[in-house]
Amino acid sequence: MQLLQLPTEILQAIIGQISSRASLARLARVCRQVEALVDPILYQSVYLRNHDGETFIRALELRPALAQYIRELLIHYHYVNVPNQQEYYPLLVESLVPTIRRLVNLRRLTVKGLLYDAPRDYDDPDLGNAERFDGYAAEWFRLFEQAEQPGGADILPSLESCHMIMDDVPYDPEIRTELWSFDTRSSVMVHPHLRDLTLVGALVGGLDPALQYEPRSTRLESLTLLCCDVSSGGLRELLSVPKALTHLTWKGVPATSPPEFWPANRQSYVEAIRTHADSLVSLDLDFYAIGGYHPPLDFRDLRSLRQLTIDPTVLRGDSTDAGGPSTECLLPDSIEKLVLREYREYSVPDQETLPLVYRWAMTGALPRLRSVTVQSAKFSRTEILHRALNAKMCFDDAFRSVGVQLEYEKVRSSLEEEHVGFDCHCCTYALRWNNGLDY
Amino acid sequence: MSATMLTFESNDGVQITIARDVAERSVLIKNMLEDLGDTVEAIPIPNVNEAVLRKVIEWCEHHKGDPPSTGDDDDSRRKTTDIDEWDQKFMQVDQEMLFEIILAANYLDIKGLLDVGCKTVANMIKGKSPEEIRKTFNIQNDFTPEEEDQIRRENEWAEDR
Repeated sequence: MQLLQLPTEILQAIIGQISSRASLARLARVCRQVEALVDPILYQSVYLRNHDGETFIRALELRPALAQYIRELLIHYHYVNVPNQQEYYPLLVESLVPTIRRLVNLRRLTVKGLLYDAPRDYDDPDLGNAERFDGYAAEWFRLFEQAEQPGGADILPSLESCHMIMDDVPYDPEIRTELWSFDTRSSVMVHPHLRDLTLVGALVGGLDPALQYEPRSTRLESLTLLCCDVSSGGLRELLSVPKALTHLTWKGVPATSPPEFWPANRQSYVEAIRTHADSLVSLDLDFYAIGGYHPPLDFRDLRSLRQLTIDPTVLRGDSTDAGGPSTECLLPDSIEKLVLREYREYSVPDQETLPLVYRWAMTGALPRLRSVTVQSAKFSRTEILHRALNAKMCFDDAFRSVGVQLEYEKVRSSLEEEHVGFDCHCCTYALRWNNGLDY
Repeated sequence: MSATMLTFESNDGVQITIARDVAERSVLIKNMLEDLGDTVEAIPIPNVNEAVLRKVIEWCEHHKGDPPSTGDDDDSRRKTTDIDEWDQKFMQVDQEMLFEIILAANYLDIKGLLDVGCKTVANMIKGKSPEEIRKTFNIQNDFTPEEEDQIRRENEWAEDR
């Protein structure tokens, strides 16, 4: 008995056990029978790095049938190991758009793009390469725009999840760096089937005015904005598209100084979020700006909310106002789990918020609350949980007495580098950076 | 009461008696016993010879205490090709026997054994050049050098760099 005499289903199972793409690629060159078995598996998840875009485009041109195998596409472009900037021809993700359009079974698209190219002779002497870049963004815009047009409904019909990191996230506080514009690529919002969208390091001012869509129509369930510079009007526009959002995350400081949109009026963002009060189950919100007077945020209208992750100082507001923090419960009675994280930690942990939450729980305002988790990068479990609430009780005993489990979770510092999509040393972001504006 | 011992007959006519819980590692046999009820007659295994059947039983004996497989086959590619030490030793057989074990595991529906068999073959493929794979499994190259080079270029994105 020989290997290739095994039934096809078994050969497929064997090939399915090979996780290394390089091993699969070598296996494909063994013979025709093997190649036919390897292609559907090798092309299930395609991972393109710098300069791979061209060979990939060529492969799909030569063998169009490959397109149907692709369920996941990871594009990972970055600015390292570039010997000569002049030779560093554009690696912009948008050049892949015509090829991406053919991926009828694509479910997950993760793009770590790079918005960079050396100036070229043919660029406008005044505008530089800005025009070319705008042209590329327009490509991306058209890709998803057509998903909404009549007759174009079959553009990426299987897409469920999209991660957009269209440029390196810069964090050099010396330079005011531009963030990539979500607005010019905002047609992704109107994709009818997309369920999960994540944006990293984007400038989010709103939807492109040319975008046509049916309000509250798409299936988007989860929206994640990391280190984005977001206007409250922009957030409201984004949220006008999905039918019923269940998860929203917005956190991290945009790596640009000063940001375009300063989240001064926090409640205006909460108002935008309130448009999904009937469906929103979890919210992870992080207002980075401090300074000035910030009233406590009122979340009571979010009547479906079960989990809230928030900075304790943001929750209770600024206490310098006369009368101190409000004692009225500002959380909806649907809350089951509250997660508190101080993104900036000073010499002692926040003292005021836990007593407040305890009081709300004790007075019956939070009947469904089961757990409060305090996350900290700096303080120990004892420092957080075993502080005295009053002469008789420490915090965890107090919460237990009202049926709430007080928990502690050690987390990484918000200044540490995080990854999305790729474990790459240069493709990172941090929730906080020392920009002098948020201490 | 169901019998605690069962007898099976290989396709070369040899009868082997084993404990019922060992035999029930095979989903095929488990289902068959449910339909059959109690039986005292030898159950024929038409596709498997004695040598292979003994190997399969050896594996089932060793793994009789394992939790049943959940059968949740997601399409995630991040599969581990780690094989525990006992299974690695167990699979140190010639290719003919390895493929026969895989076929028997497939026929008898013993997912754990089929997985170990497939992983063993996968490990023999990983890290090898096309020519080394051909040599290992005695496969004829039916590509022209141009065709092979063309495939190499098309799949360049998948190479380690």
